Amino acid sequence: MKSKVRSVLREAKAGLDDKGDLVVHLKPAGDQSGVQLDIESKVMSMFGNQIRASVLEIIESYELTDLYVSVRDQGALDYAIRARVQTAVERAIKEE
Amino acid sequence: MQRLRRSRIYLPGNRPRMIQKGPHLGADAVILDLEDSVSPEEKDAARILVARAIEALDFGESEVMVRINPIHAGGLVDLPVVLASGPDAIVVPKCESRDDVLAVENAINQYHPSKPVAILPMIETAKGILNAYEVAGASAMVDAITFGGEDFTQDIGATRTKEGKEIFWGRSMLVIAAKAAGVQALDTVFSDLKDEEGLRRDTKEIKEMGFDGRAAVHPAQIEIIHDVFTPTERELQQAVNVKKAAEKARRQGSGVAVVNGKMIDKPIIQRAEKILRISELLDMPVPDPTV
Repeated sequence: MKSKVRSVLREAKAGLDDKGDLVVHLKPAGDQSGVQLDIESKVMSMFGNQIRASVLEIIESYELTDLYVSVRDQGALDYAIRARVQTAVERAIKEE
Repeated sequence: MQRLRRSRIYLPGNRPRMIQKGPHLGADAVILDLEDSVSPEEKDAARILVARAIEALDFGESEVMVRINPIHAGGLVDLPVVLASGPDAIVVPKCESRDDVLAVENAINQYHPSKPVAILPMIETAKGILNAYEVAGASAMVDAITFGGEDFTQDIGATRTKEGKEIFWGRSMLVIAAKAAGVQALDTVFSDLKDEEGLRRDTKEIKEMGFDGRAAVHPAQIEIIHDVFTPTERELQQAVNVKKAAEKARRQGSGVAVVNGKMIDKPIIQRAEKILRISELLDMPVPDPTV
């Protein structure tokens, strides 16, 4: 379920350390810091821009900002990138 | 016409690498699994991954099934996410009653999926077997019931053997319940991946019992399962001959047809029609009659 919080409530991870997958790590950041995105990928030179665009699209769909996003990609397809970012966001914004 | 479901292969729902193999395996159905292959803390991740995989990947001719969690243990949370992605069927584990099926039917009606969705209840407990006919007939969306042999064996306190005598009665009950309700009967997995001859022998036996297909746990099992459940040239020739003889008898106003000196009655004609239906679904070349 999507929320209208501005940043994430807590640190959260999603994804597995496996080929074809990626690990997404989210952390709250300071006010007005925006989305700070760090991507590591074996296919960075070919698909870096596409990975970045997909990650940001999911984060923007939740209207989130002021957070660190770390992505460790092992050749995941676009649907898996979007799924793992979505899972990390859902975990990070869920009210306990 | 019911779909061809000779083989269904399980793919762990939280493993992108495994899910992506699905379109290339040639199985009649892939089952993206949210239940046994996913740990409790990863259920949320698998649910989202499976839904996005269904939206993004082209599984070709394979029917896309999702095995949700048991209806009272997370299944109702899985359904809205999964249904929005457009699966062909929902596999419902540990199904024991009409109410379990109706809970899934209600969810399907509530979330208005973009295309028709079949419900495939898994019968894998003693109570489920005793209620199998009620489950099979609970909803028009049910067009097959499936047997879960491993859980059933545990539930009745038996020991799982390769010969399968401990599940024989359960299998028989499931086939009878399915056929009485007019739906397909689909069997459990054969767990010994190295025993290809055992798989072939067991699959022949379940075909003879009336099952329409079985589940696979490894891609290498698919070809053997298909081999057993695909009509042979001889069976197809016999079916064509039976159909022709039956039509000729009908035209002549005779209730009795004969092929190769043997009387052809209604059950034999129905069996021939089933073989011809399967051959049509597989685009098999149909021979000319030889009678």
